[in-house]
Amino acid sequence: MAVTENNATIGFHDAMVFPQTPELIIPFSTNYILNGSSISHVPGNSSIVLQSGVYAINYTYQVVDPSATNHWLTMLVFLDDAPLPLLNGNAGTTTSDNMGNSTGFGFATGITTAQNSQALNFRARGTDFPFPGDAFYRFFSVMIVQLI
Amino acid sequence: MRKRPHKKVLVIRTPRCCPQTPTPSPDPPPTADATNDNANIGLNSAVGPNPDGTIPFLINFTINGSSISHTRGSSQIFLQQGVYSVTYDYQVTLPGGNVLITLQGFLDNVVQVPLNSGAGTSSPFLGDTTGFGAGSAVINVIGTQQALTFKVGPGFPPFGSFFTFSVQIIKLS
Repeated sequence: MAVTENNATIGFHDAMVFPQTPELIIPFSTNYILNGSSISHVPGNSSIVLQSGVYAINYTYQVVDPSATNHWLTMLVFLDDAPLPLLNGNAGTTTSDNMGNSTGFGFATGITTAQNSQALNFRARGTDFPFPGDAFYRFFSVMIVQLI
Repeated sequence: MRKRPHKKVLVIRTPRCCPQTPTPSPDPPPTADATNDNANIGLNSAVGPNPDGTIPFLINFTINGSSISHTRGSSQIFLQQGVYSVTYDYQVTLPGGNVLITLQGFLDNVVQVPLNSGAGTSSPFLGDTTGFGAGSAVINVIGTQQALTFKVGPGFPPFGSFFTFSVQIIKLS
């Protein structure tokens, strides 16, 4: 079995509404693809559990600020509580008569090494986030491929 | 009484030997997956391009295997012969806003068009003076090794800088 047969695409594709919190750890509702035994995730949970190995990670998301103003979102990625700085992927939103109509887009790419059963999670924070009121995430997709 | 002709019987003799049990073929020697060679290289602080437009990378976040090498602070990522998946993203700060930049990927001095990417800013709105860009391609490295670099053009704003830059490289074959 090639090690790359351990792979996954996890996320959501609907208008999820989250409460305003100092830091939002993004929960994922859907396991689109989950192959092999190295990657595991319970739908609805924010933690994607990785067994020992080296993993390529790419993710993209779309965020909507319902207040339709200029905001800045910082997306930080952690393995347990250790930050993975090269996987950070930020996004900005703007007023309704400009590009995106209150929608921002973010993405990032990287490679990380996991020890036994470490939890990968995504946390949103920043000077403008959480927004006044609820934050809507319309789309989030995390692709993971084991390399070693 | 008439004798009946002797009937010939063909006898096939089989060698008298114990039944042969098939010998299990030895397991093939473990082969290293090409993807064992991979790297994540970039920066996570404000860094401007070099005078020649190339982007210096300060962090070797991950380098596995011997096919990919990079010295911290250098703009050149050396790749041994092979086929590689290259994916990257960046966040760039462009003073003045309303600026469009194009970033190009090179192998030695040859531009790799599918690796090019663009980013724009829209001050004072989306991201203000910040733009986001991303690119990806599969590239073919020939010869002993080639240097992968990323470069901005001469129109890049004098005080522009990259705030984050992450290059993911995976050897495919």
